[in-house]
Amino acid sequence: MLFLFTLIVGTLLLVFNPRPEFLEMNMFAVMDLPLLGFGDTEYFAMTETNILNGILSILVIVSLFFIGFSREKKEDEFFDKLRLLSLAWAIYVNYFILILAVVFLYGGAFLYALAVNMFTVLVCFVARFEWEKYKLRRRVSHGKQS
Amino acid sequence: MENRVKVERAINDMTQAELAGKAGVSRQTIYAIESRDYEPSVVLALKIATIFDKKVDELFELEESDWD
Repeated sequence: MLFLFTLIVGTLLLVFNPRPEFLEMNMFAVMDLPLLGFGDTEYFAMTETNILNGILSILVIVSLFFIGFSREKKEDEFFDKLRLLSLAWAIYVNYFILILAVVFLYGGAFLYALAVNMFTVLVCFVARFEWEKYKLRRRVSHGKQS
Repeated sequence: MENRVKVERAINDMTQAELAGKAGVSRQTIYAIESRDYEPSVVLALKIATIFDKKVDELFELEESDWD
């Protein structure tokens, strides 16, 4: 539940994009490429940035990992297969959506799509895996116990 | 692949949960095997056969479609 809460709050904050001043700080950058083309690219240098988006991105990714890859109550080979099939499906769907973005989105919209794409593989995977588990639980509970 | 897991379970008067417990898997896995949604690994097939005191090929049988 904690990870689900973190996922929801993190996602909402990423969407509304607040930039609190106390999180403006100098960070070490392996590469700093100016977005609008003004200024020089810097390597292995300190750069000033708001770290909230970075923190939230990491929290959302870690939350999705824990939700998707944490062990089931009774973890066995069948759930391993279900997890693997869900992951494969998520890859297919994610890259299909990415191809659509490449074809139909341009400029800032495409950059936004790439940013969202950081999370969509894991989101698709978790959604598919949870759906498959739900369908199975429903079928098992409706099946005969004899 | 055809299997007789449900039949053998009925003969031995065993529930899915009991078989699952003995085989060390979830009840959902036994359900999936019996409804032919999942083909067990060699190890799991051997375990189930051992539980019913049968040979593996008495419980599981290849179909024509498995050769495609």
